[in-house]
Amino acid sequence: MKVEDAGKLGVSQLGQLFESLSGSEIARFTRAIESDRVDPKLPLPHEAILQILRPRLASLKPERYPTPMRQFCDPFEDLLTSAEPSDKSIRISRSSLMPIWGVVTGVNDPHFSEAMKEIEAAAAVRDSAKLAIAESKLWKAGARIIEDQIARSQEGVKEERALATRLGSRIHLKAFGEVGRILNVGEEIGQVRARFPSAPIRGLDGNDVTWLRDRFVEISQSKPGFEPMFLLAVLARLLRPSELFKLIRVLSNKADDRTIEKTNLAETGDLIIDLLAETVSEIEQGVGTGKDEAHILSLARWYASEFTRITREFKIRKDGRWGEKLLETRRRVSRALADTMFGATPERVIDALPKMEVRQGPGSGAKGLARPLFSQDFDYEKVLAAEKSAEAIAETARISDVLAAQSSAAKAVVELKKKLNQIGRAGVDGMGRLAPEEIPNAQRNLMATVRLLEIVDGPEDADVLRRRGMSAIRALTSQKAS
Amino acid sequence: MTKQKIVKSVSHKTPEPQKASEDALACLPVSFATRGVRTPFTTKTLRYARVAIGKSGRSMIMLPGLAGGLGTYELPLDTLRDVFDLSVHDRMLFDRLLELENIRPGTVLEHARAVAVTGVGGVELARTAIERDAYEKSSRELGQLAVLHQALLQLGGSAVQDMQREELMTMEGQVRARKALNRFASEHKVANDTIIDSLGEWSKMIAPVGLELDGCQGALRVLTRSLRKFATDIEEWANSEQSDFRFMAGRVSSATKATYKHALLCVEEVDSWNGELGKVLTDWEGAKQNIGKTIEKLWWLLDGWQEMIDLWQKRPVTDRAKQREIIEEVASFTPVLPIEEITKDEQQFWVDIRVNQMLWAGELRKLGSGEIDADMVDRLERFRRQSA
Repeated sequence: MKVEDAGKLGVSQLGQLFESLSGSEIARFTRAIESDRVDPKLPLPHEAILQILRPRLASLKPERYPTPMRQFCDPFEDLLTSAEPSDKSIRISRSSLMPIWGVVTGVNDPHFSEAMKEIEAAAAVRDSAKLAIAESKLWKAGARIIEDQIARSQEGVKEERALATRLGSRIHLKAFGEVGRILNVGEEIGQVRARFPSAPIRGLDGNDVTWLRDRFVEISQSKPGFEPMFLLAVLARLLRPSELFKLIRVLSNKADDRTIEKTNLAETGDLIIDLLAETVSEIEQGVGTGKDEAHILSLARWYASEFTRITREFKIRKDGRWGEKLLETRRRVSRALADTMFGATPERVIDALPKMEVRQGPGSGAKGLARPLFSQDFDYEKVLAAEKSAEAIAETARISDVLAAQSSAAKAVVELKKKLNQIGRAGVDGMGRLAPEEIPNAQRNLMATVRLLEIVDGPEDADVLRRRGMSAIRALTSQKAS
Repeated sequence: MTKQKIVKSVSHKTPEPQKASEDALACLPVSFATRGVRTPFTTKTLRYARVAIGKSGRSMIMLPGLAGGLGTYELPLDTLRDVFDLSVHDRMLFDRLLELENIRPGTVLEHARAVAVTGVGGVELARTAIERDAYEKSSRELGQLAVLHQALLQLGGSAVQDMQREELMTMEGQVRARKALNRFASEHKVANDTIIDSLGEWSKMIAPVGLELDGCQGALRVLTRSLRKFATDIEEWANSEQSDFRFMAGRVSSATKATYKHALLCVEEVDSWNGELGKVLTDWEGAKQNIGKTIEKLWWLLDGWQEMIDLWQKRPVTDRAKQREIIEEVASFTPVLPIEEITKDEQQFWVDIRVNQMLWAGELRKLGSGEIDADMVDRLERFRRQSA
């Protein structure tokens, strides 16, 4: 298909077409669309087409067509988030990009405009060397423009309001300042991206740490004060923020964090802990909505491993600068988990199984025998959710020592075990009264109880329950057969 | 059996480095039988374990299931419960496997499904097993009808060329079909019932492969086709990766394609018989053996691949780091083809895959996602030391 025909197809047709294209074809097509978007020669709905391509591009990650705005954002790309970042967050909201770009380009700075043109020219001929030079120029000019704008806004309330108006809202002010500071070290961040092209960086080895240390030292000589911005960019590119403590340990000759505030690394350490605190907020929010324990578990697991790694990498003291902050995050995690993961969730697990209190079935009569427990309906979806919840409880209980949540975890697990055993026993005891057509359902309920018990308590008691249940079913079927 | 005896039979087959360089082929399993059958245990330490009949005729379990050969622990299957704390699902599967005389991918799968559908391994496992069972049942039934229909069109003469597949479900249609096939039988001097019986047997036999018709495709045909898509997906994914992961994913993709080619040959062979039903039915006993061999080979060729594809399918959509972990796992446990099944030209390729697998599996251990493997090695070593 020719690119110019893309505008004639409907959304679903385009979607189907893209499904049928190979990765390299998609990459070529995207490049053509993006190139035409810069200087439109074809009447195409560029944005709409790119929107359809986006999911595929996320997996493919082809090299994108360089545009001035894209290159401008490169140094802080790893910090971008689609969610609304909190006040303390180190992230920059994607929604701030257009306002910031609008103000920066609106200044009509000749150097910035020249750099933009050079980027477009270099992109058209695919000259990466020229592109790199133009980018560097763009970042420098961009940083200067933002600095000037901020300096002017600090002259008075009126000036500050004027900048906020130009940005469209006060909420973009923080991101505006941050972008400016990062652009100052854009070139160095470019070097980091070249050394670690594949984000996130899984780990830093000795050579990486030495290399990063050298860049840090260079910045502290040539651009003093911007070291934390450089470290921030590295931090955002790391899979595990705690990895950065390797670098902090090399850069700092302090043994623990009590004296760290006297070094210029303190701010970076704070950032790492702030990043960890973001995870804590996510745990709290997740717990608040109370829906997906598996998600909370993954966050809790992440938190626990980061906590352990930080304390292992660096001697964090309770009364040190980071110690206090770190312990505060742990207190929050502990509280959040105790409230719901170990509080309300066990109930949800039990709720998926037959109800002990519903003893009288329809038609059984007031004085009749209770319907067998396991003859109650089996709900696949509920049991699946219960399995996930139980897994989350059991897993979180396993790491509860790091999370300072041992007592609430132990209580929840004991309670859950007790109830599951009760249901299992009552279910098996009632099996002798099952009608033949109820047997398959009863077996499903039995196995669900076995599985849940196994998740929270290991296989031993669960297997005993299974054997008891299965022999009851066998006895029942052979009895019915004879 | 005493612990000492068990320990003697536990062999750690990693050879000395110089031995590996002497004979690079030593790292590959000799045959499908020595590679063993992938067994879907749910106990984390037993991931990717394979079960095979050992030299002495005793069932053995190979851990961590690195497709047999180099770097694999082997221990008698009946000692498994002495070494590991098995999940309840695995206890049930273990009891069934112990009874199995003939360890083949088809039979192991059958038992694994029977355990999975009970729900003892969780709802997700049960659901997948139930869905796959149901799909296979329907493709088998539809396939049987399609085979009969195909036979009619090929052998029944002009009188039945207008018959539709659905008509075979009616009494009238069946009578018509029988008459037409009787004619063929008498022309070729074969008993009438034999033709019908052979057709029935035939359709059952090829059910795992099925026919290239909508709704009649058997599980092995579907899996063969999935291999091609899997290879392309992985290749596409790797495009934006750094060299180490591109290399790893590239190996997965090549191994998948190589296996696909072998599998496709088998599927095509089955299909070619479908095109010559007359020849097959007039010498059914001979044809039966050949078809059986090809289908059995296909079972072995594809053994272990469904898990790889399932793992990839379940990857998180945006989390690149997790996707890389999955690729690492797939790369480490991709089933390698045994020496007997490959040509001399292919040997170097598979040796290369296998040697890299050992490095990747090591990485997996180091990086934490494979802590279970380290735990397993630890258990085996401790077991050996204690019993020595």
